[in-house]
Order: sequence, then structure tokens, then C-alpha cells
Amino acid sequence: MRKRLWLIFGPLLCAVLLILVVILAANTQPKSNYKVERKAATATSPRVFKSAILKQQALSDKQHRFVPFFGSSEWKRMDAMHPSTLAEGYHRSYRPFLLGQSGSTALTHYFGMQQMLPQIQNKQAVFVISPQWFIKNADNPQAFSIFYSTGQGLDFLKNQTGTKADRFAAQRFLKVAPQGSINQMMKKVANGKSLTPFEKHRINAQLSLVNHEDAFFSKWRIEDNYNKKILPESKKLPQPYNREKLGQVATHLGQQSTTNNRFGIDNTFYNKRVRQSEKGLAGKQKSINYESSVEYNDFQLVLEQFAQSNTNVMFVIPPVNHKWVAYTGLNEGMYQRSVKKIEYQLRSQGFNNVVDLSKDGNKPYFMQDTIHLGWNGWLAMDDHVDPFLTQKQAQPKYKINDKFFDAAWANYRPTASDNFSKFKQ
Amino acid sequence: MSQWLASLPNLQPYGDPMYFGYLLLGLLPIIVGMFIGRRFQIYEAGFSFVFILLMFAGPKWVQFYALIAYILWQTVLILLYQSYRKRYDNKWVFYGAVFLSAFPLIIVKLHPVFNQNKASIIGFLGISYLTFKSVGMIMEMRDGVLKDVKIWPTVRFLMFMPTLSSGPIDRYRRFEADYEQVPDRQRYLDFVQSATWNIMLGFFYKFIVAYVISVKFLGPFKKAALLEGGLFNLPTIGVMYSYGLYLFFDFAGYSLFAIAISKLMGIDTPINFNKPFMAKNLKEFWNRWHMTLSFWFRDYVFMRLVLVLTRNKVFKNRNVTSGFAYMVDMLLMGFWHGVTWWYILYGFLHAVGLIVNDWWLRQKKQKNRDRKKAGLEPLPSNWFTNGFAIFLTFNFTMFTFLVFSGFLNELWFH
Repeated sequence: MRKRLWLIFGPLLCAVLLILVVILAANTQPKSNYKVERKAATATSPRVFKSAILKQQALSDKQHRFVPFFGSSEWKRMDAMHPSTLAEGYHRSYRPFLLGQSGSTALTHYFGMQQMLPQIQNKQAVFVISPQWFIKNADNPQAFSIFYSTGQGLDFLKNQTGTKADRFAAQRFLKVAPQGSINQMMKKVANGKSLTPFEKHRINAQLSLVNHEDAFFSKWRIEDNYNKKILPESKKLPQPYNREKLGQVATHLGQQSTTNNRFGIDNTFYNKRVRQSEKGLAGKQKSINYESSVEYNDFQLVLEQFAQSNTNVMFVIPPVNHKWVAYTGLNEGMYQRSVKKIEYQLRSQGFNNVVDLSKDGNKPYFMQDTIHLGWNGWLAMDDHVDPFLTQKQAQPKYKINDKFFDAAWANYRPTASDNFSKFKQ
Repeated sequence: MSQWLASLPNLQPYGDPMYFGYLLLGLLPIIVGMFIGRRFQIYEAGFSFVFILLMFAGPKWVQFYALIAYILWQTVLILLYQSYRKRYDNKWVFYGAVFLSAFPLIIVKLHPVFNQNKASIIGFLGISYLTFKSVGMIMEMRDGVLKDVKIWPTVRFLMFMPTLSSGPIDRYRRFEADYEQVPDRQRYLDFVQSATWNIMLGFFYKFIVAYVISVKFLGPFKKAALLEGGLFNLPTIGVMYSYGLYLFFDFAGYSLFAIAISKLMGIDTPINFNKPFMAKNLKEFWNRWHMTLSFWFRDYVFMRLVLVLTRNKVFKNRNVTSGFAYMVDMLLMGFWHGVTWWYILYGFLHAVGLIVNDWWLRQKKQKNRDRKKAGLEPLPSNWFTNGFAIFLTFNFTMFTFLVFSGFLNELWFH
């Protein structure tokens, strides 16, 4: 009978062992590899976003300084003035590590950050915060799951200490995350209960397995935007760096690319995304509102994390294309009030590196399409980002205000000249 | 109790690889028992109870009560009919008993039609499979082949955990014989071997092939087809094939799991799929596809209907009789899937297909008989004709699966 049992289970046992050996042999702390890192830094793909190993590998590279650039769909606009192109073309001392893609929001970033807390501790970061994130139903489970990996949830559970922010994050997680084996523990955190030693043990064990899988799989098939876009685009930059010349090139490139429509939108984007539905979009955005959204609470999670990690962050608030919103009827007053609310949340807590471009949507070739920075817009951002990252900065003092976790803040509709006295600390 | 039930984690049967870990852990004592030739009835009952409970725990806790009420209803009905049948045999009482046994299922199927697609609260995952089992029992009691059924065996047959949610549909007498007679060691080793293989094959089918088809093909094709719109378009053909194949790999994978777990518990649950896409005609297809369901319909609907129709001389021509019976049989199966136009059309198409298939087989037989008389060779049957037959059958069934999927409803009316 023993022989028979061996014949039945032997192959299975061998297969399981083989898998374990292969997965566990993967190195979870790979040596720095600039080629892999620069590819990962410009891939903007969910695969990179979800991979702890790739993010950690790049951000802890001692030879090359990668700085996390948090944001969303704007990172895909890889033209000559894109932050990654500028850093590459002018051989700057930093390279952006682009995090986010269309659909990523504050909660996505909060959980993404959990995988790289040691890497952002006492470091710098850039964060493009778009008012478009702050829509009514900002919590979309489908969008969340695109950027979510179990490793993020596990890392969060490992990092959390039961603070108000942790409880709030767990509650939000349960609303949007897919069903999974860690939800039971999330529920405990959400209810303010502490995890048992057994559960903590389980988290570590599972995390180790997940990270090994990550190490094994993530280095394959990283989108090669570095060689396909960033490098060729960087050749268009005037050498050496000259801001005036750079502006001329930007305007020239913008002119060339926006010839088939009256909105100043990039030709390809216009053809693909606007042309067909243009008529139907007239006046369509009249009722859109960014002033009250649970996203304001989620954003507080991110701020809280930066404060805790003592990260010096520069926030950039982009504008919308004025010609375009005049057509779709998006309310400019509403847009400015939402920017005001975001800025209050930032500055009142000591996040004073705020680049407010929100009023520049009518400048020529500032926007690449409807809501995304392009040519001159990228340069305007760079005017602040470059010195911020290359010159010595004073470490800011943050004072976190938990009132921003309240529904009252999420739902609050500011007036044009609001001083937000209700939310003072 | 309800609150406690709602707070438990929900474990869908064979839903993810972790489930097998829990399952095998619970099965371990049963497996050891089988090896030493014993069935630990009480442990087995507890094991089944826990896993069934977890199937309906969490947000679906209402279904757990529905299941318990349903089992009570069926057990009482079966025992009452049995004690009636010992003394009398009125066919109307029999029809009544069958109707009452199917009654909960009928309500569950009709409820959404009249209540804006809201599911009935007496429904639960697996109700239709349980109904097949209990209706089958009542019919066999009428036949006189099933006697002396007791409460406990009835309950353990109906609530057999591995096949509770989606079959395969077993028969009481076969199941009971397996249950009472623990397999000897050689036979049990065969069971363990087949179970190991089936679980691995099931993993491959359900978690790899079906998953890839769903994510890489079915989803994108659906999106493209809906974007293009119109009555029919090229991506819809993609939906057709990918859905048909997805359905097979998902369901066949599931069935392999159910059979494997049954076998580990010493029950030789019948197989459900036997290379269905190798069928040369539709009749053969139904002998290969969802076999326990089609055999159930064959034995308890089709054969009985043909018998009644012939006995009462309803139709003069026996081909009309079988054609009529096909139509009733397949339409009933359509309704069983759900009261929507696409399920019913699916049943109708298969009925028409079977009738045409029968007609063609008769024609062929007649031709060959004539040719034999005339001293000629029979009609050619070679790799080409066989291949063509397989191709035709495959494409017909794929088309019916497109109907079955309900995707056309989305394409046309949404």
C-alpha cells in the first residue's frame, strides 16, 4: 500500500515542493538594477503599482535617486516636457518614480504607500492632486481593485497601530476592497480591536509568501516606456537647459500637436476620445461637483501617512482646459472652491509646498487635453518641482487635524471666501 | 443565532484554492476511517453541517433557514407519500406529491418574474439540485422500487455536502448502497487516486482555463460587442465561443471537485461530463454534457412521458410521440434554468435539434437499408464525415450556449 500511496501522492508532493522552492528562492531584496528600476519608474502600470519589490528596489537604490511622484492619469502624457523626460534629458540628480494611472485615488495611494514606508521615511515626494478625484461616488470598488494587491492590505495590517487613521482606513477598505481572507482582520482594526499574536504571526507568514511571489513575477513584462517614450522625447529638449528656449520649444510642440480642433486638445486624443462624442458633451458637465466627497477623508489618510513618515511633499493642483470646460459647462466657481478646500486641508496642517496651477487653464499649450497637463503646463510644474528636489529644503512641521476624517468635512461646501473656522484645530 | 450566522465568514464551495485546505483538514478523519474500513457517521454529519453552515453564513444567512425549512418539507413529504404508497396507489395522489415536492422550486423560479427580478426568500443555493433528488425519490416510490426509506438516510442523501450546491445529481438507492458499504481498501485507494487526479484537473479547468477565458476573451469580447451594438456582430461570435468554453471548463471543473470530495468520503458520485465537444450528434451530446441532469430528465420526464403517451395512444405516429416528448422535456429543462426568454429558447432550440437529429438518423437508417437491398455499400462513414458531424454539433451547441448566456438580451435590450 505504501507504494500505491507514493504513486498517488508522490507527483503531487514533488510539484508542490518544486513550486515552493522556485517561489521561495526568489530574492525579495534584489540588488539595485538601474535598467529594471528606470523601466518600473516610468511604466505607470498597475502591475508596478502593486509590486512592493519593484517600488522598494528603486526607491532604496543608493546610486540613483528615485523620488515617488504620486498622481493619476497625467503620468501617461509622456511628451518632451513630462517630468520624467526633463529629469532624463537634463541628467538631474533625481528621477521620478511615477505612481498612479487613471482611476487611482487617495485610497489607492494610501494602500500603495504601505508597501514602501521605510523608503519614504524622511524623504521627499511630489503629489499631483486633481480635483477630479473628489467626485460624489469616489469610492469605486472596481477602480480600487485594479491597483490593490493583497500585499498592500497585509502591509497595512502590519503597520497599523490602531490610531484613528488606521481605523478609518480599515473601514474604507472594507467598503471598496474585494472579498478576501484578510477582511476578518480588517474588521477588527475597523472596530478598534487589536489583533492577536496568532494573527500577527499569520500576517508575517502570508506577507513573506506574497512578497516572494511578487519578487518572482513582478520583474517580468514591465512596460518599457523608458525606451519607447522618455528617451526619444528627451532628444527634443534644447541643450543646455535654458528656460526661455524650453518654453519656445514647448509652445512649438504644442502648436504642432493641436491642429485638428478648437479646444487646444492633442490631435490623437481628440480623434480617439472626443470627436465621436463631442456633440453629446456640450453642457454635460454643468452639474458635476467636486466640493463634497468622501475623497476628502481619504486624502487625509495620505496626509496623515506623510506626516507620520516625515515625508516632505510638494503638492501640485492642476487646472482644467478652459476652452474645453467652457464647452462642457463645468462650473469654474465650483472648481475654485474645491481647490480652496483642498488647499485649506493642506496648509492648515503644515503642508505648505503647494503649487496651485488651477487658474492657468487658459494659458496657451498649458494643457495637453481636457484635464491633463502638457507642454507649458509641465514646465510650470517643473519650475517648482526642480528646485524643490535639487536644492536643500527645510523639513516642514506638520500638525495633523483629525477633524478631516469626519463626514462633516467630506460633505462641507465652502463659500468663495471661506475661512473654514468650523474645522480649526 | 441569525446574528451569529451573519458574522461568520462565508465559504463558497470550491470557490478558491484555500477552500480545499479547509476541506481536506475536515476530511482527514473521514479518510482515515475509510482506510480502516469504517464510516464515522456522527463526525461526517458534523463535518457536513459545518461546511453547509459556512456556505450560507455571512450576508446569505437567510438562505440557511430556507434550506432547513426546505429539507423539513421534503422529508415529511417523502415519508408521508411512502406510508400512503404502502397501502394505495392513486395516480392523482402521486401527481400531487410530485407537485408539492417541486412546489418550493416553482415558487423560487417564478418569484423574480413577478417581483422585478427579486429573488424569493425561500430560495437558496442548490435548491434545484435537491428538488431533483427528492422528486426522483417520490417517483421511485411510485414505481415500487424504493421502500422502507427512513428519516436519517433521506436527510443525509439530500444534504450530501460535496454535491449540495450544483450536483452531480445522484440517485437515492445508488447513494445509499455506497453509504452503507464502506469500500474495501483497494477500491478506496482507487477512489483516492481518482480524487487526487480530479482535484488537480479541476484546478486546471476552473482556476486556470476558465479564468483565462473569462478575463482574456469573454470579458473583452462582451465589451467590444456591446460597443458595436446592432443585432449581431463579429465580437458576439467571440462571446459565443468563449462563453461556451468558459461554461464547460468552469462547470466541469466544479463537477470534478464535487466528485473527488465524494470519493474521499467513500461515495462514488456519477460523472457529469465526458468530452462533450467530441459528440457527433446532439443526442450523443446530451449523453456527454451535464450527464446527471440529462439522465434525470431522460429517466423521470422523457421516458415516462413517452410511456404515458403511448399507453393512451395520444399520437398515432411514434415519431410524433418522441418529438413531442423531446419538446416537453427540453422546454421543462429551459424553465428549470430560469423563467427568462433565453433559457426557454435554449430549451426549445435543443428540442428542435433533437427532433431533427432523430429524423436524420431515421433517414440514414432507411437509406442504408435500401442500399443494402440494392447490394450497395452503406453511406460513407470516415474521418471526414465524423469530423464534419463533430464540427456541426459543436457549433450548434455553442450557438445555443450564446442564447443560454443571456448576452443577447443585454445586446438587444439594454
